[in-house]
Amino acid sequence: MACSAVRAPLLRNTTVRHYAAAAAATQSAPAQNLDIQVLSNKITVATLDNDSPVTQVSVTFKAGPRNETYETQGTSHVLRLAAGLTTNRSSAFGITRNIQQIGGNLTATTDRESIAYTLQCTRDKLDVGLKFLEDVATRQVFKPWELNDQIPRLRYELSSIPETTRVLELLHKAAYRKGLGYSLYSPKQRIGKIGTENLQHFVNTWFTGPRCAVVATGVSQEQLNKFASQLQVGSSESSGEPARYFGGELRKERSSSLATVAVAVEGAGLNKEKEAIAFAILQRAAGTGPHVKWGSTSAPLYRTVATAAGKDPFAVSALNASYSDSGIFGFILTAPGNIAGTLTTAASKWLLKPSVTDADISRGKAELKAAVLYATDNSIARHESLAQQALFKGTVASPSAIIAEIEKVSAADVKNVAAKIGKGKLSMAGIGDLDTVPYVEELK
Amino acid sequence: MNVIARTSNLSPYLKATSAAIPNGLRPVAGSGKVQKSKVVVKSDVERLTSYSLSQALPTGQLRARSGITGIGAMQQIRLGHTDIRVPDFSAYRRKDVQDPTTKSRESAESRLTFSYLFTGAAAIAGAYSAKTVVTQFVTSMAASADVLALAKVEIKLDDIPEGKSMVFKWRGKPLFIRHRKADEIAREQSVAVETLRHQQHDNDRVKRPEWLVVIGICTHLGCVPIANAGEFGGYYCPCHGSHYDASGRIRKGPAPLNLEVPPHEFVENMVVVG
Repeated sequence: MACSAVRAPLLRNTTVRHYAAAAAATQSAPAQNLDIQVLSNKITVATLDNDSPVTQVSVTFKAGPRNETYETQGTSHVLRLAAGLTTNRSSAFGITRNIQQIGGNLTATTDRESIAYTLQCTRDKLDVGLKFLEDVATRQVFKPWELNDQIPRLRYELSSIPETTRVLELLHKAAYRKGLGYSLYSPKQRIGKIGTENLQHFVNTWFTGPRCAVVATGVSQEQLNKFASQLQVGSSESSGEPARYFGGELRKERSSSLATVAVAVEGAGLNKEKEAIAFAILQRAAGTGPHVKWGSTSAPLYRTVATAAGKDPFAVSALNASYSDSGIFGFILTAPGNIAGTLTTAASKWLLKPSVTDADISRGKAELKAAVLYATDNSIARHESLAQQALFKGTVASPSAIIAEIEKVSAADVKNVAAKIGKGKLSMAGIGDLDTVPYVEELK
Repeated sequence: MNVIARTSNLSPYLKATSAAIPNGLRPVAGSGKVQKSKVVVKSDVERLTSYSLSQALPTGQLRARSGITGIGAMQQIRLGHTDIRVPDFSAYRRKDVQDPTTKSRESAESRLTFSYLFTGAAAIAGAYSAKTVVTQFVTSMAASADVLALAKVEIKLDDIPEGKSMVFKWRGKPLFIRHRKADEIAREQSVAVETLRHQQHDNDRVKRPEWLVVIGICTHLGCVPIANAGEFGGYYCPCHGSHYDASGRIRKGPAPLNLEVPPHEFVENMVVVG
């Protein structure tokens, strides 16, 4: 006998598929409004309003080790460490506490040509964050006693730089001697010698409106314009010296079982855009090391070195760094001291007469495009890339526009720049166990 | 050879000398450099394979980044395991239970015994001292020694002839002292105690059988009895007719008790009452 409850439609298996069969709602891609304009105080303001819950705002200046002189080396390192110290409006404690209280991050990032003060916080707390970002980026006072307190931190940072980073610093020094050659890190003999006046002079000279870009993701253009237009920055349009490539060699012997060697010639700066992209493609074509754990790669540079190395461990990667008006292209290599010499010779032989096939070039292109798109995926990397574009080119390009630019570079263009490498002057840097590593004259 | 090979003004600088054993005549060249302790940061890993070596190579642009750390590495983090002090009661704990790894049950008996003994001893000591204090206060209300000394009388027994009862005044009361004859003594001694109203043997009432010392107040309503009168040859109260015998015991009449014997003692031929 069937009970009436069983007959109730709710308790029977449904034969109709309700929401399971509903069409998936079309996901509307977040609005991506790229906008850039130059304000009356000559600050370039770029925004990407992408509805991101986390807002990133950077105040960047074209000021870095490149703008130092022989006497003021290390200034930009101290300047980076001094981010967050007392300003003329808020104390170090106030800045730290307020930023932590809104759950934000405030970082200073330097590369050879620029310094970026970046704030990351949630959108609703932006007003508080911007106030302290302005303090940190434009209202520094550099109290001497606070600078003194940073010395142990500076020493610690210097002692923890890995050799692979040091070798690039040495390579730049050998290649450019000054300007771009000055290190991101303060030389040891300059510790404690960079005082309030040095820093203030550096800030007054280089932290000016025409050398400044304010870049943000996740903010509307109007809000950022309001913030940028009231920044107190100078208006002088000082321009640094143009970069000049010399070439040379620097070696540093250290008690390490490994040798790290970097060899390079002059590449292309961002002012020669097409060549710069060609060099970037050539870098990927030559090989930046295996992409798979424990794996190998068919890239020519890697294969050349692997043949020379046999069963010994080694790592090699093509190296390409483009700055606003110059660049370097070469390779960086690290291996145990006893075989580093052979590998360096083999790799430089390839570098001076690079042989890349069309297949290598198209693989290099694909790798570069993938790298550009992966960087777009990462909001921090994308923001950084926007800041660099706004600062150095005064324009911002969408990822698809950049991909289109890469597409335009033909295999012949890449082969052209590759052919030029052999004529360039070599720069070389070595660090670690340099027993077998040849001198630069021996590489030709 | 040296003169030819090296220019004389440079030669001191083209070699280095150090004295193996300093002799004090030639000063040891001091470098004058102060040895400073160096910050040494060891690498996190020792790279021995191609893979780990390739991980160390920088691939992108070289940048250095630092965050705001105005006052050292300042963080608003409370660490519960180090910041909050756990209250420490070890100052209040017995030695047996200080160590958290031992069982407290094992030492329970000895701790209990000690507690009970200590409490008991303290209670006894407390009670005794309390008693002393209380007695002191209470006795302060009693008569002083000079007053007590005045409250005694000395009576010469030679003045009282045999068979006579004499009356004295002691503390405002009449005091009878009776010199009993031998037959009176024998009579009173032989009275059966169980026949008496207030049962007292004669020996309990006198210290020397020939002398009876009593207070001369009738135990009925306080009249003064008459000596050598009444049916029993002792005392007779004329108010309501109580008869006392020669030992001062009530034998007939309304009085309920024997005549009171005051504290007294004999000193040779003298009695001291009080």
